[in-house]
Amino acid sequence: MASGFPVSSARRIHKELVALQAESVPGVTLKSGPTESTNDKFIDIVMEIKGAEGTVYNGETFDLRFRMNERYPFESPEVVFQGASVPLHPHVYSNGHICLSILGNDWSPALTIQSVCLSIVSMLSSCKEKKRPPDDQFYVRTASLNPKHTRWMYHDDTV
Amino acid sequence: MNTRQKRLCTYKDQLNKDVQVVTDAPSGPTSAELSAVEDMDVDEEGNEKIRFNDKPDVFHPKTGKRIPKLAVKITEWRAVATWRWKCAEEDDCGICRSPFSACCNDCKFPGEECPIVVGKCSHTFHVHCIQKWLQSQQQQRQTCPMCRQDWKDVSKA
Repeated sequence: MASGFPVSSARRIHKELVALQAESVPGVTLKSGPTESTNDKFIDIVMEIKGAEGTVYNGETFDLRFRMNERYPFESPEVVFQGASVPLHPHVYSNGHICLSILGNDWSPALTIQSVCLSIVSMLSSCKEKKRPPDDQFYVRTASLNPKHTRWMYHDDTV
Repeated sequence: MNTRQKRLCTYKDQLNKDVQVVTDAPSGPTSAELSAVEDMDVDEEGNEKIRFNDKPDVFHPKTGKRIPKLAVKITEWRAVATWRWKCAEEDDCGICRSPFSACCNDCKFPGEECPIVVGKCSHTFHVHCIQKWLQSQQQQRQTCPMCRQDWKDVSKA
């Protein structure tokens, strides 16, 4: 993996990818990566997740971009929906940013790419009505490219 | 296969054959087999410790035939031990995902250089891994990565 990227972080990412292939979870697949950034600052991985059967996202697929920096897994990865389809969900902004506590304050180094994918699939699955967050317009205009620069308020646990 | 390995293989085959002869077929080996046994030489340094061939012949109580002796010279032996950490946890560290029997991703050698710690919640990690996590939590509550309870190091308590 990356030469300047810390070996310990790279090893952990490598182990996760091996585990991902060994025990795959339905609806969660590795789409591309790992890709090193040219400055060795981060490693990108794109995961494809499928909307679960019996939910409002049934049949839809979404791309999640994971960006692990050199502090991973002691710091959470930057996770955003990328590409054309960003799910219409009260916790997902139209720029792909996700309001999910485990990606911020509630991150734990015991979480993995796979467990984060599962949490996001489950977050989508519990949604009954497709809609954007109420402050979507304002947020998308003002937010940084990196969702981790946002000070998230986790105010709604029902969806 | 090098000469030494080859020798050890023949030695093992021969040993198995001898055991079979003694227990199952007390007729004894043929002279050809015997000489093969006696020609065996596992000694490389020449400092033999035990030499069964020096003992007097033993005869089978019923058939009266000579029971072949093991032509074994033990020239050298090494005690081998295995170790594991005393922990009730599953095998991998939840932080670095390496087995406890291996070291964390920052260390080169497992063992005392890279010990494990058990928390009050009974979750176990490499000490280096949990230290890095606790340091990165800064002023926040220091929690176990697995169960989010307050992290208490049992060994320090």
